[in-house]
Amino acid sequence: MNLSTADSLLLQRYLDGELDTAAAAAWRARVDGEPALQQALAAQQALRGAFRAARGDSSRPPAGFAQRVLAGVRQLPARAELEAAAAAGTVQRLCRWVLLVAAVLFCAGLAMRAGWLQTGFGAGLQAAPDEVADELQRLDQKARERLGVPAGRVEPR
Amino acid sequence: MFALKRSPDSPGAEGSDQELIAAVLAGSEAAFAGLVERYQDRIYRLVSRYTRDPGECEDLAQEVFLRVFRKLHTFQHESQFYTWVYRIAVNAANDLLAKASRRRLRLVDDEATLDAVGDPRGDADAPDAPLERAELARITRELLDELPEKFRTVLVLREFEDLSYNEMAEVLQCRLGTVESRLFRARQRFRELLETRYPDLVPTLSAITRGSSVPGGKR
Repeated sequence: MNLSTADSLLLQRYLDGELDTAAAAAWRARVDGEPALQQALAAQQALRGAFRAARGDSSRPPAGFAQRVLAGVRQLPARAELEAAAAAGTVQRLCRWVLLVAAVLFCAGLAMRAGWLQTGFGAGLQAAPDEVADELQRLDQKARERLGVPAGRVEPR
Repeated sequence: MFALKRSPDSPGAEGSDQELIAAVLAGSEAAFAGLVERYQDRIYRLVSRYTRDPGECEDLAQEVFLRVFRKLHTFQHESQFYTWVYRIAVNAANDLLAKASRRRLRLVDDEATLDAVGDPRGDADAPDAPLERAELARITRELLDELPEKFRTVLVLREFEDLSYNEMAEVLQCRLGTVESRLFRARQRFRELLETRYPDLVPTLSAITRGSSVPGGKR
């Protein structure tokens, strides 16, 4: 009983009540005609039985809960102070990020200066003259092959 | 100078969410009491899916409402207020789980902490035999407890809180496609765990669901 992903998602939407009336009816008609879909539907419904069984197991607020919440809220500072604190928190987080980025850049700069990081601009990455000559020769050869020109003569375009 | 005044003019508990929010921001304690009373059952039920300890459950629910109060001025009215509150509750619960990860907090497992009345929505389709139902509920909680936080949250929001995909996307601040795929993977993972640990239970489940209602169109 291997459904395609599309059919599995349709089945899920159907059981979750997320299909509109027409789509649900069309899906139901398909299910009626395909035993594989019927099996998959039964399996999914069975799974949902487990959740239904656990539905009732939840708590309700004890007596006086709302009063205790209000008592907690009364201890909070004034609304303006709360808003100011929230704004200050945002600024603080922003500053922390800026400092972090600055510190990383500073360390990277130090490491480059000390030669621990290769930048592509330093002597460490310069190719040896022989390597450059070989590469130029290879490119020439490629150009000759493409143009069908014998060795030694590369015509300008 | 505290955040609330005890007796300013306020819309009272029967006002709309918007009216109560405006009054709370103006300093009305009665308006905030109205919001707490309106949402305490739902929030308490939600957080009780994350912690088994009754004291911790109450602390967590209180923390949710304190966060709601502190952040109320940031509520933009772009989403439903209750999905905004749910988002705060889910974040608070996940913060608690993260802090307590060493203690491996589990979903409510202590029957003594559970509401004796229970949730009436769950009773209609539930198994007839109370023992069978209790055992199934225990197993469900055990397996949910083992799922990664993201999977557990989508299952709690969908299976226990009845949120639609749109509402879940608002709560989790993600796209609809993410909600769907996460829900799909969560159920898949749950099913794998169930089949591995309790292979004998699957036929029982099938028997339980026989005759259960099949959805119609979108609500």
